[in-house]
Amino acid sequence: MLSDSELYEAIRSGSTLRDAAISQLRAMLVRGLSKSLTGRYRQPFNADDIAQEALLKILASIEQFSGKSKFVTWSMTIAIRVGIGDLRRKYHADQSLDSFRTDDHGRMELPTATILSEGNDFTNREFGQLLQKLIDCELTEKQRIVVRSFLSDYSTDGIAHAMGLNRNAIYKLLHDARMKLKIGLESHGYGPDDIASFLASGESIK
Amino acid sequence: MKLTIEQTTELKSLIRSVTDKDTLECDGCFDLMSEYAEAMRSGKQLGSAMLAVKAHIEQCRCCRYEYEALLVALEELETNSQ
Ligand SMILES: [Zn+2]
Repeated sequence: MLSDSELYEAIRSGSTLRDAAISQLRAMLVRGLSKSLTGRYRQPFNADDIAQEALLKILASIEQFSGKSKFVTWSMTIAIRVGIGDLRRKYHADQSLDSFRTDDHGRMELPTATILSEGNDFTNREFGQLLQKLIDCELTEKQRIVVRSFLSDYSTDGIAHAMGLNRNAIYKLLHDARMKLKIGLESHGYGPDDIASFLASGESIK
Repeated sequence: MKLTIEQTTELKSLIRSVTDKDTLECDGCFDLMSEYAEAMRSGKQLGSAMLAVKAHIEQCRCCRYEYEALLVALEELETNSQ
């Protein structure tokens, strides 16, 4: 067994140990992936295939390894991203694309229970109506589409793929939409406790 | 699209938990994730770069999911190397 630094050096420098080092790293990736990906997104996977794809990425980007973590940890981080990306793609392949429609301008309608009849709680009812107004008026169409797709069980990866954008952009659209709604609720004169209680309410009335 | 009660509860939770403290995006988080995982596993005190990863992971469900999977994999390697 090569140590972590020997593994890195052997793979990077192309020494006589390179093949052995790659085999050792592949075996470690397969072991880690087999354990950590099991059951995720309810999708079957082949740890050998994922490890192989990850290895190609690792070899191609080895110059970017900064040495601030162990080489194996860095490699495993890449392998996990490849593996989960793969599972997400399979998972989303069977999902409805309804939330990405644009003909309804990303309309996102809160349930009647939230808007009208949330028990007899007048404050929560007002909050429900305010939240609907904020969704309609403060969010852009793109933000609504991202939010409703995320609520329809899409990952940011999956949304990025469906919308032809990158994951950073989707994360930012989602984050900005959440901030807009939060600031919108806060700027209507309600106390923080009332807002917190509305946001924590479990909506038991159907 | 009409949201279900469950989706509305999730939306509220997304609003409740959002902060403006996240300075990273997913790619920046990914670049630092291996270092962050080791720092967390060793209980080391987190510097500002690692605190930025922590803030992003708390805000971003997808990066959090990948980080949790990474911890499971690292745990497995450690168990097997002993
Ligand atoms: Zn992220």
